[in-house]
Amino acid sequence: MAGTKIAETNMKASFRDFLEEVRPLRFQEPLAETLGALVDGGTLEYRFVDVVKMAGHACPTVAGAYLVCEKALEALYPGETPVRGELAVTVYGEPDEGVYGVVAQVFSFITGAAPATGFRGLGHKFKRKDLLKFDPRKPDTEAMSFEFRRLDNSKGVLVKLYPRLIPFPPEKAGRMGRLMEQVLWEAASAEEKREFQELWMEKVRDMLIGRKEIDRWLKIERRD
Amino acid sequence: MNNTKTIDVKGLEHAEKEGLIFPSIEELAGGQVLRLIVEFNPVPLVYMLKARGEFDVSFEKEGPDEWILNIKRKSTEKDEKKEQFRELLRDLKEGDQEQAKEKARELLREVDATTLGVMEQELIREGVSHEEIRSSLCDIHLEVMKDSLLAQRVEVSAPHPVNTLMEEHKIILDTLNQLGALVERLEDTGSFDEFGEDREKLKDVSHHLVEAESHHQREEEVLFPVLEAHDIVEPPSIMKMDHVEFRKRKKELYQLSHDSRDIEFPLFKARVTELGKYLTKELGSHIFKEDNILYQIALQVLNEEEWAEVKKGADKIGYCCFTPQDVVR
Ligand SMILES: [Fe+2]
Ligand SMILES: [Fe+2]
Repeated sequence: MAGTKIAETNMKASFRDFLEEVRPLRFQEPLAETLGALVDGGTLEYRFVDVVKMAGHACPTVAGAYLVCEKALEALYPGETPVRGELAVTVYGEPDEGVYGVVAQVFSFITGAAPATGFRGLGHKFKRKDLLKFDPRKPDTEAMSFEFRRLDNSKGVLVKLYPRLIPFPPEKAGRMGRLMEQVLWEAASAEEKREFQELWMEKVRDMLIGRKEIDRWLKIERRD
Repeated sequence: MNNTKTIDVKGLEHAEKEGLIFPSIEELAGGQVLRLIVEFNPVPLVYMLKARGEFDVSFEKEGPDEWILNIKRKSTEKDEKKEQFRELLRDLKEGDQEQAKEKARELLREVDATTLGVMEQELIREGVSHEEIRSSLCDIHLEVMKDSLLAQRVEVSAPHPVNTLMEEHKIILDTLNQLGALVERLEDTGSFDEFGEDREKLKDVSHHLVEAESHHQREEEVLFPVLEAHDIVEPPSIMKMDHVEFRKRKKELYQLSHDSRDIEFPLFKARVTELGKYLTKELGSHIFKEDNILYQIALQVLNEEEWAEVKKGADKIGYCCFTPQDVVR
């Protein structure tokens, strides 16, 4: 779509409130520190809305990826501030399969672990390239599985996301599917468009804020 | 005509190529040879000619920038119904199209393709436009070829990607039948009220048609690139152009069926009728060409490894809501 002129007052992105309320993720970033972007002891905060900016949208996949990161970081860095660039991530899927590519982008953005296109490093330090890998051998066919491993102590976790177990009333899901088709084929009225957006955001909010039954659809196990 | 005639169709539009190639082939008498020069590997043509069994087909040159094909007719055939056809084809141009076409189809069951080809050649000399050739003669060609193509057609079992695509075609054709019936009923209708429950049915039908996009996507993103890697470039590109035409019309039909509040009934009726007729006819013939020519060529050309890749790629894209689950596993 072509860019449109927007009024001066609208220049700032205005996100839905709940998107701003999601718990942020905090990192030390030795690379930023070394090169001077961060002043001594400073940390980097990654908020969900930052991920929305990177992805260009919010959806259950992006929300799921954010929660997977949060879960892995809590388990790997109890009581510590995680260190960006110090994690290797394995995505059990293929880059062009389903939504794995999008999920991987979120992981890269948050943790600094990059695929082949990432930073080569400065001398022997700060290499980010190839820290994120895809592996088609899925450990669980029902789940989307991801391994996060600390490079400093080689402790690892396997996080599993079960998208189909995230609770959402089937009638709403059905309605959302029908509305989505109408929106995509440009056959939705203004009200239908709004209804669709509300349902879509409701699901994202349920995941990020409500976290209903989260232990059923987001699981973690140690992999040391 | 000498014993050998050469035609060079390099650089011509698809319709122009067809307009030259088919008549020249049909014009061949027994023992005569047509040397055909094209800039791509004419795989579908070779396939069709072999299916007919009346020709010896061999390559004089195979790429990389031009292909020279020698087509020799094996035996002579008598063209008794020539005059009858001349009239018919002229009717196709000037008279009642539908009626003439129906008559032509009946006659085609009795007459061989050679006679038809000669007649077409003359029709072209009489100045029929390419568009007309495309819309009427292309169909008639297909009609003539139908039996031999159907007889040659190879089917494969699930979960082969061609099996999935063909199963989906059956369902799409069924949807097109429903669309055809709806359009027929709509023609006798004077208001939205009278159209009644059929409006809901039209919604269902258009939902199924847009759902078929993933079928086209799998063809375009997975199957066609492998064919292109085998130098089979022209047929996929024509199929892709078809997909674009279908998408435009499916979108309008979908929009009409979902939101007809702001449209007057006569306009609604006119648009739905036009779109419905186009889709039933053109998408139907697109599917026939794929089932009986394009997929068949693919089955001959691709090896097992390539099919495994196609299957993997298709799985990644996913299937339509109507794709039978047991055929993709
Ligand atoms: Fe197609
Ligand atoms: Fe198809």
